[in-house]
Amino acid sequence: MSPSPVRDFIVGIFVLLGLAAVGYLSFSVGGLSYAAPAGFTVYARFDETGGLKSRAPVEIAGVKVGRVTGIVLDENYRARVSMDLEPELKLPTDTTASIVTSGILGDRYITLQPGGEDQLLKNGDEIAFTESAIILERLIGKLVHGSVGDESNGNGGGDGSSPKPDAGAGAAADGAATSSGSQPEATPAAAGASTGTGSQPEAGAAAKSEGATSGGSAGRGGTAE
Amino acid sequence: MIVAFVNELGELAVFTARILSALLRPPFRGRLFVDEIYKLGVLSLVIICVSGFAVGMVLALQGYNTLVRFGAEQSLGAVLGLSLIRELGPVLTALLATGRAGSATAAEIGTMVATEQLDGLRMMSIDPVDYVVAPKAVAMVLVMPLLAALFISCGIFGGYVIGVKLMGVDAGNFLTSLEGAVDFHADVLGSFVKVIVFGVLIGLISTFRGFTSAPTSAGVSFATTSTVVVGSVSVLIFDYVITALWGV
Repeated sequence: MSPSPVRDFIVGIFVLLGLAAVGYLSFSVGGLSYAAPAGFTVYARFDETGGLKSRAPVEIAGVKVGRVTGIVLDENYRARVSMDLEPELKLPTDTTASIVTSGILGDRYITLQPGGEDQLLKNGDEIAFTESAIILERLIGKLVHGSVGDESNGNGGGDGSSPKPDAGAGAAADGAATSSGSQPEATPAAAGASTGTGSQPEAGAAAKSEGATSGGSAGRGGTAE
Repeated sequence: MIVAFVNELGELAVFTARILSALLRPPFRGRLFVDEIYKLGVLSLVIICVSGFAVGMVLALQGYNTLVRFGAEQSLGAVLGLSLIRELGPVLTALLATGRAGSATAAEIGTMVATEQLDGLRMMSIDPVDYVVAPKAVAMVLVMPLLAALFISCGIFGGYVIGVKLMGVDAGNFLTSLEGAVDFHADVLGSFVKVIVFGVLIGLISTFRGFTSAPTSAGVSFATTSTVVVGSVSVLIFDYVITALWGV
């Protein structure tokens, strides 16, 4: 077969097309990124990750600011989640990390709620305030067995037995948790940074929002029954 | 029969070793290699792209009609992407390449055997494995991932056309669920591993069948048929084994 420049050119085009398709599948669809870890790693411990996966997004107010890089079990049987965040992000030390779900049965991701402290989280720090994933089945189970609201914390698979990072706010949030059937370690949640200081209004906001969440779930559970 | 099978397997192993040693020794046949990429890759492009597009379209239609019963039609992108990347892309590309490129390779080498061209090469002290077989086998292995990637991309495009333009799934939802569900390490990498294994299989089987065919027209015909049959079956068996062992 004699060498033909046209054929070589076509082969080159074909190889380029193929490589472009490989690149599309790897980078765009597969989400591969060669960006080195951004260099701002923080950790958070959760009682329940509820199927959070490595590479799940980390968001603040719905804006993606990083991703989960690893989930390991620590010595107290809690999940230690490491997050790689954008380095220019300035997070107060009382930031709350919550595992939430997109849609009722959607993927889990982490959302951060910056607090009001002056001190900032440094690389390698641990976020003290966390809110575990809400397991829909457990909420339904509690509803069915009538344990929502009339049983103190520690019910339903050890949700609330973890040590609280903040005693005062923790106590306030216990009321929220027992009334709503949610995890009690979520302390200065919701309106943290904007509404300002003081644990009572914050706990109230937390109770309100969690009540709304569990109310929605309970309604869903009721129809499912 | 079992003895014949084991015998053939042994011959195939020796044949593979000859290809490998031919690859390591100079001269390196770059010119022939490019020609083979043209024959195996470029000429398979149309069937691969058209099939990929059609498979993506029908997958989107079937997937939509099933998902809409559960009110989950927003997950169409995930269904389409995962099934194309993990399973349908590699396997269908391999089956199409067996039919299109593998049979052509076996027939070409078989005809060379029948018309004593390979003997002519040996007379000039050119090793036919080095000159004829090795470029074809290696080109097959290298072309397969490119073809599979094109197949999958065309499939995703076909699914997008049907799902978004025809059935009215939201474009943003489609792409988000597609990109959210597919993971590079778990899905895309496994897909490429599969397709490279298939490329090695098809490359070896087609060249081996052609090379060992009887020097008659019936022999060439048998070599071509058996390439398609043995190639397709072994692709499907290896697909199951790879999926079962490594879960890709």
